Amino acid sequence: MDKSILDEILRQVTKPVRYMGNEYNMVEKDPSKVLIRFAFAFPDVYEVGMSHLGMKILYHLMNDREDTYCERVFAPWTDMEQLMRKKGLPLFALESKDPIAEFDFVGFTLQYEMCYTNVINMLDLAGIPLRWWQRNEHHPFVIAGGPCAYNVEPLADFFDLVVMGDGEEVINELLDAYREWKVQGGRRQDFLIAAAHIPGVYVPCFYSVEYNDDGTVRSIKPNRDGVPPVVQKRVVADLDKAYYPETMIVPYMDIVHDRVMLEVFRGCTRGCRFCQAGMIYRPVRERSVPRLMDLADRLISNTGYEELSLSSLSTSDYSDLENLVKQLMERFAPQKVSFSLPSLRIDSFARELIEEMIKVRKAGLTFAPEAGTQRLRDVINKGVTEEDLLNSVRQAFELGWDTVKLYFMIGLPTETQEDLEGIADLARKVKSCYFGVTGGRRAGRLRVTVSVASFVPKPFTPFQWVGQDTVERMNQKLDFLKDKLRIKSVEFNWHDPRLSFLEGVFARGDRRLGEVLLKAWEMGCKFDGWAEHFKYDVWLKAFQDAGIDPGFYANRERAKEEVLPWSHIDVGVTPSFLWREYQKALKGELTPDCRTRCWGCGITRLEGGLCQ
Amino acid sequence: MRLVVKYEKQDRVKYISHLDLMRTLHRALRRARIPVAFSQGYNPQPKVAFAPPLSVGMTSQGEYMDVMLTSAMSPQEFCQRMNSVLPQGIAMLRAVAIDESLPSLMSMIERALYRITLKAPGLRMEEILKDFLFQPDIAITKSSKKGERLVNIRPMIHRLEIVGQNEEGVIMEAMLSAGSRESLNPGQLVHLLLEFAGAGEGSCCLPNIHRLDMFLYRGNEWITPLELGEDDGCGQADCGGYSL
Repeated sequence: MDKSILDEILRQVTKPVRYMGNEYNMVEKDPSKVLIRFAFAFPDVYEVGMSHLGMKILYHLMNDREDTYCERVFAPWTDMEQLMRKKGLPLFALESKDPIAEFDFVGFTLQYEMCYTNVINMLDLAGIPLRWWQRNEHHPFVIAGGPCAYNVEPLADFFDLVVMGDGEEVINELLDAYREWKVQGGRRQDFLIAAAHIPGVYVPCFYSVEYNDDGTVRSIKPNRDGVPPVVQKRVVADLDKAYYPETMIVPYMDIVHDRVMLEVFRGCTRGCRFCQAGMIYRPVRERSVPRLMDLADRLISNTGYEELSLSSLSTSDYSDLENLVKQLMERFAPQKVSFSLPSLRIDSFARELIEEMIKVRKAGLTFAPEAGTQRLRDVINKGVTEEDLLNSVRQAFELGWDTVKLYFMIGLPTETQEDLEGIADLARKVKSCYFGVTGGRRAGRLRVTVSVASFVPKPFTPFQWVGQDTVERMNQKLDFLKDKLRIKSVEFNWHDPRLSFLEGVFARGDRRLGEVLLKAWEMGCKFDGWAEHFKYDVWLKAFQDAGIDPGFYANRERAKEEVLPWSHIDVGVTPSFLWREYQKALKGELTPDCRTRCWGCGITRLEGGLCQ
Repeated sequence: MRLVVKYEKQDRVKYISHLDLMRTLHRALRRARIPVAFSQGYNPQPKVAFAPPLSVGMTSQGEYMDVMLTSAMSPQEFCQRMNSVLPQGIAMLRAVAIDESLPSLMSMIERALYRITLKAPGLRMEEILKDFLFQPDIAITKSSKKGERLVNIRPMIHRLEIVGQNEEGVIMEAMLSAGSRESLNPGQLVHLLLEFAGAGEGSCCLPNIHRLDMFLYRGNEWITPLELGEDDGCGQADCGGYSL
């Protein structure tokens, strides 16, 4: 690539460092000396993508192979894109600055439904034909993974293949198969056939979908021999033995999660019924304290980071958390390294732990009661009581905190007016708890932030059959809350219901939505998750032009018998378990943590699916 | 122990901002296991201070930082250890130990020397420079917290001359005020110069600006921060010349 054109462009854009590369620990290889060039693509800006743990793991894992050079590429911000198009500069990888169209693979991680137009935009900017059938032997294989890949149907036209589940093992098998294919020199389809035989690999073009007259799916079947009728996700059985990088790229710019990320375990045993991550990342697998200490040591000394976060879906559920935190404190507090524990559950908010932590630094506190009443919290199986919450909040106030954030969802199944009122009640109780602790001192400093999102039913959860609230209904509920939450020291903010609606459409969408995505992108939609770029009217027009009713996907309640667009994917957790949980939800019955006993979710059927 | 360190910021890292650079150097200090002193209090910060920042997009061979250490370390070892853990394009050039009681670099440094390469076809730079500098007053509006005010930047240009020419354009050197008292950004100077010449923004390529060094006034002469070093004056401060 002409570096002087890039230089000229970088002088004119905001945050040019997003496109510069050259960070400490960036892997440099001679591209002419590798067989496989892989562009790891994150369909959002640098500072979002660089905060993603999966990319950090797979980047170093692939680069540990001698035959492969994995580089990174992010969605250029609109000012950069405009100049790149004007100057004819194709989308390039940060490491070598080579166009990704010349690579063997372009692999997208799909973390969020509203990044789908960015996937299309990045392919276009790279000069890669958008749909799989338009590509030939000169084009890269465009592949995907990540949580949204489990129902990749709305993007099925755009990907050559998709990886289901933990990537650590399957990516190596995929690269080995590619290597063999490339050395032998076969047709493009030959590699896809070989890939389809790798467990966990889904090749959309080998499956045909038929529809009923009412628009629902009739069947999803392989259209050639030897392709598995159901693709089962991959599971890394032993996290201690699984690959974990000992070094991470240290960005120059301030990224969203700018710290060492130490994954303490994968999966979650809580079984919150709205939570897709809690279902698709099963089973729970922990790393041992010695392994974590060893990784922490190496990562801190190799990166120089001043902060380390213990990441997982519910870090306070780690079986040896006290011991781990104590050892980390002893080792790193003298080095002035601070810790963050995201996703602490409020029922296990351990005061001692927090007191330990604030010796180094005090971070903000967030609680997620999710619903306003006990009845509704039981429906969603969030086994947290009001007492738990108020106890935790009181302790936080006693320890000197003045600001807390409370997360809620509206539009959950069975929700009533009372549940909405409960949100405001809880905010008021938190406020009076503060005055109880402080006796009126520090009164001006209290800030309670109530954050509300509209519930989005997701595939592979007990609520996958539920009809989502319409945008009108969500707005009515928000208006009600805006009124109820006019409370001094309480700040109210909410997620745009129109965005929640589209998330709902694409989360449970089928292949017919590919056309809508393409039309929306053609009409200028991108960075839809960024409020300043979200064009709801354009989206509605795209649906209209494609002759598709978005409400069919978002607002419609599904029957038990309906063939769901993702029914050919097996994430371990079975549809019968999910349906059982759905029925229990409607009755307000709890399913306790599966560490107490097994509830037969089905994950143990999978190789490596044994629960710890 | 207090070290003043001279370092460079090359082309491949020219787009990182001053804040990014500070963060990068803080983390490099950790990786190099330099015994940096920390401030006391609620949120301890490393005791590292910087000379006047360089604008995004410019390169430099004359950047400075000021590091307080809790235990003695030879300036040479400091540079070696840092250079083994820095990203490409940032390198420690030389370090010296200085008197701990000296004021901050930011308050001592008063001037910076730049090399400006400007592609300006059709412009008679020699004459333009002469006329430009002949103005007794070059007023610009500076906005600050107190609002906008007019500032005469002519006294902040201590030297501005053409020193050569190559395929990239006319090469100029500029000695400008820099530091906490008053300072002139070389990018702004070029902008004013082109405006003065009647050349629109589009008629020239953006200039390449490179900082050569920074200076402070001490004992009746202009010296670089490295000359504050407590070495024996033989110029060996960068090769283990540290002594107490």
